[in-house]
Amino acid sequence: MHRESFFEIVNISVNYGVIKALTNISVKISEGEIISIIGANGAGKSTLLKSITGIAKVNDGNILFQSQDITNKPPEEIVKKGIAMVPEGRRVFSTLTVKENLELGAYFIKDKKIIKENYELVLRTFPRIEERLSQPAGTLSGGEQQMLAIGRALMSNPKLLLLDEPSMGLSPKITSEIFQLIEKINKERGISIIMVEQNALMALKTSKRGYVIENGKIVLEGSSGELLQNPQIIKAYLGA
Amino acid sequence: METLSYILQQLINGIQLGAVYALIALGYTMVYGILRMINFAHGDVFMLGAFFGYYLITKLSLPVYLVFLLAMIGTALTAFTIEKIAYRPLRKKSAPNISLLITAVGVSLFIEYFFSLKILFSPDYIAFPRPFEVESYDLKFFVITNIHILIFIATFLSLIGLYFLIYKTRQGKAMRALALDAEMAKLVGIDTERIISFTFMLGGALAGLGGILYAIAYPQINVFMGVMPGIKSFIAAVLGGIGIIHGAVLGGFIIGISEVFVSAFLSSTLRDGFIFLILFIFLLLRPNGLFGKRIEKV
Ligand SMILES: Nc1ncnc2c1ncn2[C@@H]1O[C@H](COP(=O)(O)OP(=O)(O)OP(=O)(O)O)[C@@H](O)[C@H]1O
Ligand SMILES: [Mg+2]
Repeated sequence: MHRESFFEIVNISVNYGVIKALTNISVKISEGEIISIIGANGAGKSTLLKSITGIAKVNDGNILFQSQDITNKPPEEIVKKGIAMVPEGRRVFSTLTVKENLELGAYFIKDKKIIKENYELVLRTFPRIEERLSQPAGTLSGGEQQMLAIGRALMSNPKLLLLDEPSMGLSPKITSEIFQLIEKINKERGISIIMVEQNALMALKTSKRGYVIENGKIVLEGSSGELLQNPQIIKAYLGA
Repeated sequence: METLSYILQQLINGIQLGAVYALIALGYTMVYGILRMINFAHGDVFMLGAFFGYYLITKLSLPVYLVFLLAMIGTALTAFTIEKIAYRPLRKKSAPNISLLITAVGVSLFIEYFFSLKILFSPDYIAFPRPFEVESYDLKFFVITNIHILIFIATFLSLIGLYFLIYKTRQGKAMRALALDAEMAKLVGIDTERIISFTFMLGGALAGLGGILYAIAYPQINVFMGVMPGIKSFIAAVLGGIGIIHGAVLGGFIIGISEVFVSAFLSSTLRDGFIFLILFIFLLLRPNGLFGKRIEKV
């Protein structure tokens, strides 16, 4: 018998014109799980997340979320269904204040009480953000901007959080701080997380399972423990 | 003393004209801000505001405030329709900006010549009936009329309303987010097409207001009356730094005051040429306009 899955990507392909960015990709995540997708520059990691959020058009295959087919739904619909994105390069709204950025995360939520609850929860998770609420988001440090981008995504009360290279351009110290926060969000709030990373070591240490993507194809998948031991991975991604 | 009061008088007149330019320039700059496109048909929306006002006054003889309200609703709906019919289908196909620009020019010509039909507005100059008697008040150094006062107050209130909307409401926050990063705006759940429509309507309403105010101040209307004010307001928007709200307002006043001063002290024939000269010199000094900081990414 087939058990209803929480979230599943089934055999999708994405082309940018003649460029095949993704070919027959399948990825699965269960509720409360945290998984990572690792791969080199240009492997197709961001494209995979963009196909989930409706930014990149899926040419073939399906994306299922809570037994609904969400393939090629527009981004503003996807986030309402409970999938929030923290994009590569954070993309905070730079001239808007930190507070306004957070409020925009809950843009589609009508209930003021829920917005307030989410807001307080986010500030408790990221106390460093709280001290900077009235500051333009562009003036935050890289690490703070990453926290804000994650906070903004959490404002929508997501069931599934997509993180595109949360460690990009951050010092090792801030990176490990961010990964701890990601783990905490997953543990304490039960939010499922798909994390795309070039920092394979940190990503695999934080997640339960992982997928390795090369030239738009999944070439390996398994538990993070296994992947961390895999000689191929050690050679290609862990820089041993 | 004579010259001083003459200068002051010209300043008052310049502010009056500048206020109208500012109202039009806001529409150019807001649309540019969210779509990076120049809506060349915007000057014609201004013209339609004057004509809607004309019909509301002559055919329906409505009270003044209703004339303003209905004409502004009319131009808001016109701007909404232009965007929906002419621009949206192209955007859906990810057409390059140059296609949008040439379409906007086409829409502008279409409006001008379509409404030139005898059964519509006709190509003639029409006297605009002021909805109230003109009164002047001699303030010793200069004369101010109730038209000046109306234009100052209407523009001032619109600006306050606009600032409130953009900086204090949820809708305004969405507009600013869209202007910064359209894709990210969608990702947080903003229905960007709705915000685009809303922005066009807002710009349309302000241009419509400008149209009636202009017709009241210079009471002759014509289907082509939007061309020059449209171009000058566009210049105002560029001068202030296109995409920047307060830049458009300040730019409008700079252009309006310069125009009146050139007419008064140099020559009224040189007036329009001078506006372009100002823009040219200005852009040499500040290529991104008064408040523009960075070079636009295309
Ligand atoms: N909008 C686009 N148009 C055309 N090609 C694209 C587009 N976006 C991505 N690509 C191509 O698709 C491939 C996958 O890109 P993608 O951004 O998904 O890689 P990535 O794994 O996220 O890389 P990185 O680690 O550098 O972020 C690349 O070859 C890229 O050049
Ligand atoms: Mg990427």
